[in-house]
Amino acid sequence: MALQERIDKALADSVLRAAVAYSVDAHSIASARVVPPEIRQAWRAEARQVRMHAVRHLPELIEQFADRATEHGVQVHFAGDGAEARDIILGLAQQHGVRSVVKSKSMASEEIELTQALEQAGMSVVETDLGEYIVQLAHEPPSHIVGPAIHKTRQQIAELFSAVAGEPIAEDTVSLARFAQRHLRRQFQEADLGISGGNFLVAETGTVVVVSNEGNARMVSTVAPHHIALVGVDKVIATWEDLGKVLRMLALASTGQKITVYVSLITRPKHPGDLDGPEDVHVVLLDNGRSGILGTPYEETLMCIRCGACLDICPVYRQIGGHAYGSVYSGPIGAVITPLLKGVSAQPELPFASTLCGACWEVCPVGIHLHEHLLHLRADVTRSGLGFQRERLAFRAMRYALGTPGRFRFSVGALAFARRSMPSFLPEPVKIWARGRVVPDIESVPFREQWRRRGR
Amino acid sequence: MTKVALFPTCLVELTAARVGFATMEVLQRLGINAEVPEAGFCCGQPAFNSGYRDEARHMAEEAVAALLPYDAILVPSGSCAAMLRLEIPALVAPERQEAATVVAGRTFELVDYIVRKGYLDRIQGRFAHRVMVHGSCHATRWLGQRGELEEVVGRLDGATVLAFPHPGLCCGFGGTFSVHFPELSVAMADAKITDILEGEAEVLVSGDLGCLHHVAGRMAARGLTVRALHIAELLAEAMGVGVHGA
Repeated sequence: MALQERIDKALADSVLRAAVAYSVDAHSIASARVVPPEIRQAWRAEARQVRMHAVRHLPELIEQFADRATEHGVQVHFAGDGAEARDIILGLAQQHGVRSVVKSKSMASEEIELTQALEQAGMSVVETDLGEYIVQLAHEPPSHIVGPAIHKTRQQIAELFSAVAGEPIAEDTVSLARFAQRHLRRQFQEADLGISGGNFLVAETGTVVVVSNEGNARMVSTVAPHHIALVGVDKVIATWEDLGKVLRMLALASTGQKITVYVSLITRPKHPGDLDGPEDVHVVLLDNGRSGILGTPYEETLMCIRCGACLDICPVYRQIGGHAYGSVYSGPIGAVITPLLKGVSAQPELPFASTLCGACWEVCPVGIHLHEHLLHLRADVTRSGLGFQRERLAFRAMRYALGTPGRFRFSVGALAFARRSMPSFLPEPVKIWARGRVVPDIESVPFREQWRRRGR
Repeated sequence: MTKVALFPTCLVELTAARVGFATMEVLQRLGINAEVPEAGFCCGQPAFNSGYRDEARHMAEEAVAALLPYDAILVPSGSCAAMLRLEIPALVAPERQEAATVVAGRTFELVDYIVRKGYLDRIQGRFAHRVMVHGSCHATRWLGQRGELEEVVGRLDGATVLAFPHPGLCCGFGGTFSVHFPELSVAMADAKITDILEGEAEVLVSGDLGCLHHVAGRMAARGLTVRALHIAELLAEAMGVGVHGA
């Protein structure tokens, strides 16, 4: 389905739009209340510094992380692209005779279509993040970076759970949560392998940081005998002290918390004498196009901490939800990194599906100038002969028509004359505008000519 | 003597001469003697935002040349003022960068000029209506306006100034976005209109014609009777200065 079709489908879905608006507003309101604006700005500046430094030193920091982690007994793997990452993970799973997998939320795993690969290899995979579990049951991709199922209503979720339970599950929060908790608890205990994502990689200490509010990432990374963390290389930060500065912004910006309920700091597998923990811990570091962005004008986008705040504030996302973007990453960050990771030809119209209002930049906890990157991507698209090419001619004509006062007067007069004498004559953009809006009148004589004729 | 220019903007030239007249009349009442330059019709923003930098550059350079002789340039549009102030220095050819920087530094959005250059006290008149104020994304995020438009309207006797519950929520015009993604654009207008109706506003006012044509055009298509005015028109009416048309 093309972008326009997906947008139309979303606009026609009033249930979706109400659900999305409700959730994003809840996030934004909570986020704005955590600390006063001046403190938020100060924290934002610090988080930006941390991430900027990390991106500028990415290769060295990744190496440092790998060295430190390896010293602690973590096995570090490098995956150039999705295929490599899948092969590595499948290989590890098969090596250990894995039959059942529990996953905590990982956008990187969506990016490489990991679940499908594991299932095709005969393994069962259960998403344990509540929102991911819901969309897994619905056979849908996540629609929001932080809240994968914000497009779903309580009623829809109860229906999905009732089908699994084989009996009606009530629509209230407690009943829904209790069902999920009991069902997923069994999955954790029976799983052979836990696969998580990673929110940050601390280079100084070789730590993988995974946050969650539900505790599922904690379970995924400790209960099963093996743990694999799949983490994009852009998640690295330099020092232990840096971690506090980005963790607080992640919690603040994504859900309006001071800190997430669980923060897992993973440094090593179980040692003899430990009460629990996995026998082995693997970190798969995923590139998949990220290092190609280094050294380009878009480098700043690698600073993203995947908080979802830009989705929550975006006036376009609010109307259409995440699926309409047709990509793993939706909202403003998705509209920028999708073409950067996959090439502009993948979805040339995506950077244009924005009013460039700048709300995303304003709310971004690390200050990424998303609106500017969208603008640059538009230039990239038109330069490569894609996008709305008919406009090139129109803008050339406009430049010509506005070239001198005489030409300007003539053009305006001609346009107004054409409108009057051929009432059905409307240039294409005007016809499109007219579908739902009254078209403003065209002056027969441009304003400054009218002003001159008044004798001033 | 300060030479002041009005940069009417292409939307005013083509679709709303009344706003140009209103602006000139209001400025005169405030004691500002502005003139309209011969040339320089478009700041280049439509082409720029669509990714056509070359075409945008030419229009911007023509605007710079036409505006350079002036000490102050007033623009009845947040989006055009932002384009001239913030984007053109980097957009024009290197040899014209100095001139563009000079012009950028002398350019002011209309409300900014009134409030920041000390003309607020001279805003006096009557406008006994419930007025919902829409600050465009350009005026608020890029020109840093936080309440100036409200302040100006608030000066008028009888005016009830209403704020949008989500003031930062874009109206959905977005220039060419409005015709690239028309249904989405209209849906975004409808979201603002819901707030306008809930606020029981009689008048919608903005410093940006793009936003106004978009939301007003939608309100008219829906048969709604809320008036949509540019701030210059509202002030002209309130201050009792003539509003002429062709």
